[in-house]
This record gives sequence, C-alpha cells and structure tokens, in this order.
Amino acid sequence: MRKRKPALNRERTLKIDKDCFVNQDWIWDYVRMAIATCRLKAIEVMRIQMSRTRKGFHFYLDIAPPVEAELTNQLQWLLGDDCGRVDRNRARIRSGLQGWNKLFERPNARLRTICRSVDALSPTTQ
Amino acid sequence: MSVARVYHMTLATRGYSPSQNAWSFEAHYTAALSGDIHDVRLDLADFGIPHFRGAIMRRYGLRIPEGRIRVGWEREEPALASSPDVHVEFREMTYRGKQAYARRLPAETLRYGNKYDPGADYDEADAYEDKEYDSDEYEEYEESGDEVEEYEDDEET
Repeated sequence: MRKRKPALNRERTLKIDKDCFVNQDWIWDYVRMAIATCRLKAIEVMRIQMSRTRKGFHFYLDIAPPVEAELTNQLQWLLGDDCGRVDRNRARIRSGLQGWNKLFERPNARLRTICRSVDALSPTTQ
Repeated sequence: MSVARVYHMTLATRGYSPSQNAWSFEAHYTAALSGDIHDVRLDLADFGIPHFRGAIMRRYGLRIPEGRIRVGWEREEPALASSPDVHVEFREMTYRGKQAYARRLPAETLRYGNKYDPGADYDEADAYEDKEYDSDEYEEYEESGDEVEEYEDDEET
C-alpha cells in the first residue's frame, strides 16, 4: 500500500540565489522581469528584498496569494535560481520536508527592500 | 526580555554511497529561542553538532569529523514565544548525475539546553503517519547508468 505524503504549507516568499555580480540597472530590469513572470501565473509581487553574498545576491520576493511548493520552486527556477538548488529543493519537496526552501544567510546579512507593491514598477532606491 | 525568534539551522555532510553515488546527509533543526542572534546561533550549533554526529553514528556507523559538517542558517523569523523544544528533520540525499533524490528518515524532538546523550531514547515525532519511509516513491528512478559527477555544494550561501 502506498503511504500518504504530508501536505506542504503554501509559500509566501520566493527565495532566489544569484551567484553573479551585476550592475544596478540590470537589477532594476530583473525586478520588472520578476513581476511580469509572476503575473503570468496570476501572482502579485508585494515586496522584493535583496542581500549581498560572497558570490552575488539573494532575492526574497513576497507574493500574494501564497502558492504550492511545486509552483514556488518552478517560479524560482523561472526567475533564474541556482539550478543545483532547484534540484535539491525538488527532491526535498518530494520527500515532504516542510522547510524545503533553504537559503542560507550570514548572521550580519542586511536585507534591503528594493521594491514594494504600490510602486512595483518603480524601484524604491537608486 | 529579548525577542523570541525562529531559527532554522541545517547541518550537512557528504560523501559517497556504497554504489558510488554522491551522497549527503542533512539535518534540519527548527527552534524558537530568545537572545542575541549571534550567541543563539553559536549555542545552537554547539548543541546540534554532537547530536548530528550521533545520528550518523547510529544510522550508518560512521564517525564524521567536525570539520566535515557544514552549518547553514536561514533568516530568522519572529516567534510568539520561545520554546525549549528543537524539532529535527533528517534527509538522506543521493545524487545520480545531476539529479538529487531525498529519503525521509524519522524526525526527532530534542530538549534544548540538555546535553546530547547518545544513549537516550529521543522522541520520534508523530507528525507523519509513515515513519518508515516508503521507497516506492523513487522506484521510477531506477539506475540510469548516468556517470557520477562531483556533488557541488555551493548552492545556498
């Protein structure tokens, strides 16, 4: 008999790992692209935060409404998340791990809000 | 009194399975604790590492040096109150080619602050009905004969 898998919580945040340094104007274009990609799936981006890492950037996108784990991972992949991470996340989702969406931060990492829903297409800082 | 936060710590080590596939063992610790973030992170790592080494010893009979254990932290989240319970989820990851497969192992609940005792019988969480993992889920992924590639674990930092 096949055993039941535990249901995973719906996710409110997309976490994206970009191991690459780029210019600020590329990041604004990325924000616009992320908003447009989420809209393709009828999801609104409420806020985007980012932090710098040793190898590039981490992006946190707060979304509404919350979405299922598989779709979260798909959106993260569409938004250019690290492919190894997407694959490991997929395996964790299939094994029913609640906190599958791992993205490690240094203790002193500063998160900067770069976009909010009201001005989704005009970034908050330059 | 300081604010309570939810801490998510991941301990992982990697190696090769007997069938020469890249392999890793992960333990995901979740705890709601109060205090300075830096101090709590250090304390929780000191608490988790002996437990993690004990878990590998129990399951595989392997002695893992501390230097081969990778510690990762996620962003802390606000908690309503602190709790001495630490929930631990284990996953055994196998890599065939570039594809990862996870196997769920029974979860545990530990008491934070008590020194880890390898002889003690820890609670295994009743969160899931299927405590024993059903490997049927992965039967579709029979050995494909893919070449084994080095597991690059530079994902998440």
